[in-house]
Amino acid sequence: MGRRARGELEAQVLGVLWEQSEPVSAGVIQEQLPGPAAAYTTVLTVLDRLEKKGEVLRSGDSPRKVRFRAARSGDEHTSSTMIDALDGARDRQAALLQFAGNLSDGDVAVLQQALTGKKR
Amino acid sequence: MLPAVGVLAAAAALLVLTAPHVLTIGTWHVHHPRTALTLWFSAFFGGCALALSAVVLLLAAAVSASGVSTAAGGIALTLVAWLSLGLLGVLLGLLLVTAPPLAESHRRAVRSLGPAAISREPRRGFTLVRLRSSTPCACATPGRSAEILVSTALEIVLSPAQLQAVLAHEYAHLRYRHSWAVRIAEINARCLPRHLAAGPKLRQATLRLVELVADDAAARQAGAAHLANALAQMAQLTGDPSLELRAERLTLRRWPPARRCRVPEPIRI
Repeated sequence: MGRRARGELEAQVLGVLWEQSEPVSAGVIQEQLPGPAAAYTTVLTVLDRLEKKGEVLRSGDSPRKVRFRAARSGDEHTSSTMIDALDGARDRQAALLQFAGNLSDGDVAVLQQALTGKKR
Repeated sequence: MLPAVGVLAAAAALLVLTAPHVLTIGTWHVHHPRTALTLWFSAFFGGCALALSAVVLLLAAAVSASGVSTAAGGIALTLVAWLSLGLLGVLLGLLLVTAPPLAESHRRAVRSLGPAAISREPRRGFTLVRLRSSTPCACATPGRSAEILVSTALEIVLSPAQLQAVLAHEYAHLRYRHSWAVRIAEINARCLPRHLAAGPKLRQATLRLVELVADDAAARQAGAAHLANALAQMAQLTGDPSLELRAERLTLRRWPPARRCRVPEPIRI
């Protein structure tokens, strides 16, 4: 049986929530998860964790009627996690060799110096 | 045998102390990034080899106890030899402690982008992933399942020819295994003592040079003008001054005429 990598289930639960037009119950989320089946309690734990991170909003008064929805749309979420991932620690530069944004202020100074030197 | 140990150790120390300063003299490296990167890593591996052979020779001398006449000399030699071996062990330990969290942090960064994928197209050697995002961005994630990620916003702001140049830049990172260079430089910076310039300088130089090397490859394959335009466009959107300078750098050199450009088959759009 294939196992999920750490953090993958969270991403998948968010993915399911982004597809929904209205708040859904944990059971619905559990059914729609791709890949190996996840236990209902596991889904609840993940939702709990996502709620603490501010990614998921909980609504409904009685425990049986609790519904969940994503706090931000998929696009908003990606833009912000992408910026987090890209702007993140220096050690991520090896992971994400980006087209833009890998050069520091020191590099800018060196480039400037090289270009003005060449033109003169 | 002992004088040889001294020479090797001195040469290693000299390399560690002087190479970072010698290699950053002037600005030639901006115009010849590939040569500069090769020299940096030759110095790095050369230094490692010298230090390692010094330790091996020292151990051999200690085991055979040749070259010393007095008992005190013998004891000192043995002590120094084992101490240097211990130091090597400490370095190896540092390496083992540093590398896995670094790799894990890389994996996390890559995974956080996963859910946004709207299409995944397997190409030769990598997967081309399109990300739904309003941030214009392109990046390459190395490894066995290498990917080049392009955000939908980037596809909108760049012309097809410019996008092709950006893909060529990212493809160069993958093909030249730039992630290894960056990773080695990063681990080196973390393992070397703080007050040595060699650590941060190698890291800084590697990060800068791999970008310039990838720019040069992309300019040759997809056209320098297209790459420069893509860089200028991105500079305008992000306000990053380094992008404009990279674009300007491309205008200083003569490139093969556009009709001779050949985009590698895997990245053709």
